[in-house]
Amino acid sequence: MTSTVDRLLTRAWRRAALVLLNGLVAFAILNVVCALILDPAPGAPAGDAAISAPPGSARYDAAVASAVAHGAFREKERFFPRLSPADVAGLMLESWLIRPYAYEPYTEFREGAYRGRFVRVDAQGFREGGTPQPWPPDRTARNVFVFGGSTIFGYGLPDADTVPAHLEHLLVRRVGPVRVYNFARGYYFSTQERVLFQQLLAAGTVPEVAVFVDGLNDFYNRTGDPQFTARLRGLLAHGPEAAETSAWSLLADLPAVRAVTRIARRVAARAEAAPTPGAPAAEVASVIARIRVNQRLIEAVAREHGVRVLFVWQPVPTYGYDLSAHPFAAGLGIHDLSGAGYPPMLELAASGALGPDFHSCAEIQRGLHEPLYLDQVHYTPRMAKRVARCIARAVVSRRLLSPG
Amino acid sequence: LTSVAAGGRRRRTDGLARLWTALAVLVLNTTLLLVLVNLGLAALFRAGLLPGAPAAAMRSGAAPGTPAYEAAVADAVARGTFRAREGLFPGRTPREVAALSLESRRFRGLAYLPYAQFVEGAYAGRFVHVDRAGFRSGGVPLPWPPEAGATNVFVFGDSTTFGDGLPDDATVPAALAALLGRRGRPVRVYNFGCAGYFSTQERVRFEALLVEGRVPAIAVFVDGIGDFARPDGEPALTDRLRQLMANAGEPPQDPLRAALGALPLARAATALRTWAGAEPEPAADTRPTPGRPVEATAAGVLARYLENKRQIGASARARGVRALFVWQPAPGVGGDATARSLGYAQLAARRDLGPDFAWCADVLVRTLDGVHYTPRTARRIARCIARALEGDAG
Repeated sequence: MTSTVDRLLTRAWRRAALVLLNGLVAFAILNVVCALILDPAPGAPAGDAAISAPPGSARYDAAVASAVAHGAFREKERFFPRLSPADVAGLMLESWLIRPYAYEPYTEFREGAYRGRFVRVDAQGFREGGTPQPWPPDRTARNVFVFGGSTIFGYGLPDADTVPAHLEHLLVRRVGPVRVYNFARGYYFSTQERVLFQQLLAAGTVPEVAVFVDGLNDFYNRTGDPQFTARLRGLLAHGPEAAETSAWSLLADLPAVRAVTRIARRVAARAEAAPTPGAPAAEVASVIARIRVNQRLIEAVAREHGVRVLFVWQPVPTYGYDLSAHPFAAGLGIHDLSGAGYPPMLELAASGALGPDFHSCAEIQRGLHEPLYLDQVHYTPRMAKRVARCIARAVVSRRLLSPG
Repeated sequence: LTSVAAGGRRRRTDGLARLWTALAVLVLNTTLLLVLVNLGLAALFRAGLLPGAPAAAMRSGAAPGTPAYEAAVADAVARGTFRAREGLFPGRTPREVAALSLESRRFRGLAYLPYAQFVEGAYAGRFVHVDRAGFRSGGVPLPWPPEAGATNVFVFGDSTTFGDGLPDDATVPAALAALLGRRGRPVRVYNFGCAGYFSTQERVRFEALLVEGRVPAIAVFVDGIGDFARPDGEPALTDRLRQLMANAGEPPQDPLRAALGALPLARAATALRTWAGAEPEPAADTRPTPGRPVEATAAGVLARYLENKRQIGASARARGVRALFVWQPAPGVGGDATARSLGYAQLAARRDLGPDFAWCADVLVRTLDGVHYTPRTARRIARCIARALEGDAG
């Protein structure tokens, strides 16, 4: 009797062992197949998961080659008639995918230092323009610091085509030598810009003029927490030694899991593209209140240091723009609050409640029936120049810069 | 001949099948053994019978009544860990003093907070209560958000202001509330002191509260010790967050190694290594600033403090808040040649920094542990602050 039970148990144990081993082998084969099918070039831009790859590295070249082969950025090529498809792919990858963010105290994160072919970010966190910029800034020069989000940083644009780069060019032409530093960063909104501005002042880097270009990201960010807060909160709570973090990173890297994740992302992106119901007025009011307090704090601290400030209300596709001319209008759902928030904000500006330092460029796209955005929200080179022209006019007409 | 060949093939196949089965059993047995060992070690870690290695910055709170809390208190009493403090808390039993001391830091942790980087984590103990909004109440519950009709005072500072080692009603802000209340001013004092804070974090935290619409009537900033503990101007968890974010953006160099390192078996091995040969990390306020003369460090810290004071003053004025900057007493200052002693001496020479500045550094100071104030010292500092608020600054 005992030997029969033993035999049965042994047989069951052997079967379980075979199931486990065969399952593991099948899973390994599945991963090998997925790895062969999945292309190494990433799909949708996801700057927060970017991997650092300088030009000339095997990873950079492979990503560019793969993007060109798959036509990943073909729809952007028309905005850059002088660039080859490989150049456009390099520019887009440098903007979104092969340049990671880095942690920075107080602001939470910054654009990591990077020396690409099209995107160069200084170790101090500003993006270089067309001309060399010394650091620390020359105290005898007229220095302008520009703050904003990714649209002002110039995601999708080469260094010389960003709004601050054009602004420098325009101001130099109109008022003489000026150095414009591009302190815009992806995802930044008014609170982070204020904190960064104050940190620069505290470090003794005091510009003559500070320009804050806002609108899009404040309405995108409804909570007031920076983009990576939830992630950092989790990482710090559990620590790198937490099993779930390490185990998940190991699992997430498996080709089979990556394939499933990619499919899930596509499904989620389609769902996101669907129209969302009207934004609640309370959220709009809360965002506007945040913007106004930040403006008042910036003005107070700037006055203390003798810095002239300009608050520029930027153009966004959800306000005053003919969306039938927007090739990437699908997926604007995550920015719907800006569409609801712009009219009340501009009403406040018209009433004078936002003060004399406020200047709206939101209307510059009215009547233009052409593509002004190279994806859902980021400016084309021509649009960046238009925005820069609007800012330059305000800087000159308000005499913000001292005589050259 | 054909049947002989078929028999040979079958034998080979049977042999391979037996080998495969043996391999499968070996894999299963090894996996099970590893799982059992790891489960056992995980249980020991959870029960606190094995030391965590390395300690996480963010501890989960051990609440009163839980086995971990009661066991730690009983152990501290048995070892006499906090016997030296018992005389400072007359009327409290050794068990209560042990519980108070453990609640002050060991049972609680910090939580991530955007901008200021971290905040005291929410906790409800016997002696220490920290609200979800990050403030410590002073013995009586305080409403959050603060009531608009009340006179609200926000107090910012480091762990000496938070009141490490003191019960809720004996901290500097709690004593300040009692004093102001006695002088006929019904006030609500919110203790936003946080371990590791210095003037930059206090400025950032204060302004974040203003942006959230939490505007007090008065904001008090108690500084001195924390600023000299962070001469580089970076909050305490910066290196760790930098590393975490770098790893989060880029897959770990070796995810398999990272995953294996997270197993209880590997953690036990690390704990064993640490126990065998590790040296304790020096306290933050004793760290030298490499390659920088003490004079330059002192001057840099003071310049940063004055700049933060200037910015806070501007922000406070813009929102109609009365700001008071308090220079706190630090134990042992002047007895050594550190940047802190030098900085205190330099500031003492020019202590008149305006009507919004109160020099409380001369208050007679006694500590629980070399840094944190006794109840009596906390009351003395509160009296100095109250006098300054009543118009007798300095």
